[in-house]
Amino acid sequence: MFQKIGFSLLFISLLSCSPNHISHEPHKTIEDKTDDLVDEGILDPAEKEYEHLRWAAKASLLLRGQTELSPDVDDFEQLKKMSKEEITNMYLQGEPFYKTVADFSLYYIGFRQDNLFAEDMPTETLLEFPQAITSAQSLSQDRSFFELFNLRHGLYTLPFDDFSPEAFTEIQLPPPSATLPLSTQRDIFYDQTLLLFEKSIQLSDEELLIEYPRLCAISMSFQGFFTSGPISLFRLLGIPYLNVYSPLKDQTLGFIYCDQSTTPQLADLPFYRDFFKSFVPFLQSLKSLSRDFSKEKYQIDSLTDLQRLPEEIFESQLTYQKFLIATTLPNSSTNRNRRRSAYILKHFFCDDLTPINVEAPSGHTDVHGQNPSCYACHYKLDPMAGFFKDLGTFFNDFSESDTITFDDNKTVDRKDYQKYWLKPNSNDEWNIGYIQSTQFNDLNLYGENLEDLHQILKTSPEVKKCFVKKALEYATDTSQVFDPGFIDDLTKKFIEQEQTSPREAFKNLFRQIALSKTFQKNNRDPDLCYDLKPGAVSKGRPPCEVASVLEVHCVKCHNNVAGVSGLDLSRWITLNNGTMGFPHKHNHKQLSHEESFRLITERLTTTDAKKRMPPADMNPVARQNLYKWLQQN
Amino acid sequence: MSIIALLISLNLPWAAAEPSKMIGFAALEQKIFSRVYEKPQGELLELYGFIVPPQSFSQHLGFYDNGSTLKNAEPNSFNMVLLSFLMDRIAHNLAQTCNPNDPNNFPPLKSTLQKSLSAFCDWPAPSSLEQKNFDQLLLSMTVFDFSSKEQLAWKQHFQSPSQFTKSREQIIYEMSYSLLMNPYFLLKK
Repeated sequence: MFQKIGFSLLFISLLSCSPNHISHEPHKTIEDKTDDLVDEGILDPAEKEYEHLRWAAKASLLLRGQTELSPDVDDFEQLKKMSKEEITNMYLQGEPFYKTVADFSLYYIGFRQDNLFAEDMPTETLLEFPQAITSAQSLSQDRSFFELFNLRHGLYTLPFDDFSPEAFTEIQLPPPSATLPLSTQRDIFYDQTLLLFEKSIQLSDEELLIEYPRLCAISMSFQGFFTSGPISLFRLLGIPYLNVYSPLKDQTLGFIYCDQSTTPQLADLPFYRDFFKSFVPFLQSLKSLSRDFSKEKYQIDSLTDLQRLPEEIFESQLTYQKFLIATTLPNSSTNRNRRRSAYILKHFFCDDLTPINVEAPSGHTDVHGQNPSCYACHYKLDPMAGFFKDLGTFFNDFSESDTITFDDNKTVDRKDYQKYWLKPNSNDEWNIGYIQSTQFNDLNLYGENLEDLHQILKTSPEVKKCFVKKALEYATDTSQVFDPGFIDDLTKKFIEQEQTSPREAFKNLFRQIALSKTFQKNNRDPDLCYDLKPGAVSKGRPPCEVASVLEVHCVKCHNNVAGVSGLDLSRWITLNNGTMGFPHKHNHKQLSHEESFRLITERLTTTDAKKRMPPADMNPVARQNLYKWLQQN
Repeated sequence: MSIIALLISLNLPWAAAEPSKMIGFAALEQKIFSRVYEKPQGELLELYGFIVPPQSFSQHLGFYDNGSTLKNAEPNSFNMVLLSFLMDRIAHNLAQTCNPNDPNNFPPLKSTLQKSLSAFCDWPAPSSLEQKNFDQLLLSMTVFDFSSKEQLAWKQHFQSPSQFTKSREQIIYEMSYSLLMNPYFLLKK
């Protein structure tokens, strides 16, 4: 009917947005570009008003859990009159902000998922990540967001669906009067089923053989076998499968199969008797859960209304996060938890383990790790791995066992295995911790187990700095560069405010992000820092990715070509051949960009403590970032 | 072909600096069901199932899968074909707004969009050419995705006399398709 569009030309339009088409000029500063925070040009009042609302729409997505501005819901005329600060505060006061917290929590720990919410309600997908719910709820009660790291936390559930009387037919019981309320029918169902299994405990062997086919058929229905077509019993009972039925079944019933069409041997009867007996606590739990989490009793309007399932029923399932770590980060008998350690360093310390051979081998690792090139990572990796030393296959705790079994099904003596993390010549002192330096022990944080790791993650300033960096990336893009001085400033404010109010500290961080130049800018250049540390002037300043690091660690000595090494790390100039570089003179002659960078890299990475720069110790992540920048430029 | 010229001329100068990833299938679906259609109950097979199963849509148009990076969200020839089929189908459906008795399998339109599109039912009568109609349609469909300059260029194109010879169905189709396929609509901000 209509003229067809030539899609190939449309592809050109969209494909032209690929990174290859973006011109990345090196060493730009914000003053090289327009300071205008909208696309370009000078805007007339109507355009300014529109761009104000455009920012409000973008901030709504960030601060109201991906909720769009809507002409049906939001008062645009009111928004036009409000300042950006007022709009930000309004968004932060709303309940949907905790959707942002949950979504960011998952981004932070590296397990981002689609469809966490449907409208404003949590979905079953979100319930698979209870740590995200815990952190959001904790923050809503003005407690620490960093409960996110606590590996022991509860499970949550949505309200149960209504009971369906077809459940009686499914397990071959006579249904009660249909005129009874569904909740009464549901209780009758559980009472009758419970009675059957409770009676089975008292039966003689002969009586049990007679009852066996019926009990077997019912138990298989509860296990999910022999159900009538596509309808499973758990649906008829109205119980959420993933978060409630399945874990309770796994915890209470185990994995036993019985065949109602065959008569069991007398010798097998004790085995089946125990199996039927296990249905009593299972059904008792289902009955109480079905009452407590029925739609009548348990109504949720938002994320913060979600309630935990009772710990006494789901005790062995409490460390649900172990499932995530166990399935995505398995531990073999030879891996010694290093994969888990790398995950912790990467996600919570923003340390991607870029190898720089600055640390001299010492007692922090094994023979492989003692090789200088391997030691560059292992001095941090291995002590961090020690926090997981008691955990074997599927993240199970073997601390009370003589042996430990791994995900490759190998079993070894536990004490022998754990000797790996003992300090040299010690029988009880562990070399486990977050290691920043092998020479400056006071920079390191030591511990023994996951609880200690949780405490380190909750309190370490390095973790807070990484958290702020991740929040900035979450709001903008992972490829966006930020001035480390700007991150330090936000981190300092966050840590100070967190002492009095964790919730306000978190909100204030997101407030500052929403009002930052980086967030406000449309069509951002990922290589450009739009926000600098307070007081910084970009003109003549070294590139923003490293300027603050240089100012903290280097500029005190290297601030003048007439001074130490003829190197001035406080300025960034155009060299004779047109490239950019530091003022760096040798015999009164400016060194080329390449030679200057080579000499700086050499001093940054040498293992010779007398030559290594800076002489005072430097956070390994800052050193790695400076090293990577020198390599890339 | 005028719509192609519009899309190319509008997008290249500004979109070149946009982050190059699409917003991902879940976010796109959310946009469609918050701006275009009332969300139907149950599966959305009716809308997508005619090309490939919905799961494949999400896999090719950007998704998070237990990682913090959006996968498969870079525009490429394959996902652009999928998108163009989907958006073409939606735009065709929107073009029938002025013929409400035509049978279709689509969910009901959002009332705000329905009202915005209905303003063009007497195209090209002067009443349909009023500025507020274009503003209203832009607002309902794009909710501030576009820059102010992109909006202006879009309006100038559809308000030009060369458009007045088109039928109401064709103009609504072209306006809808050019909004749905616009990089400002599809790409991350």
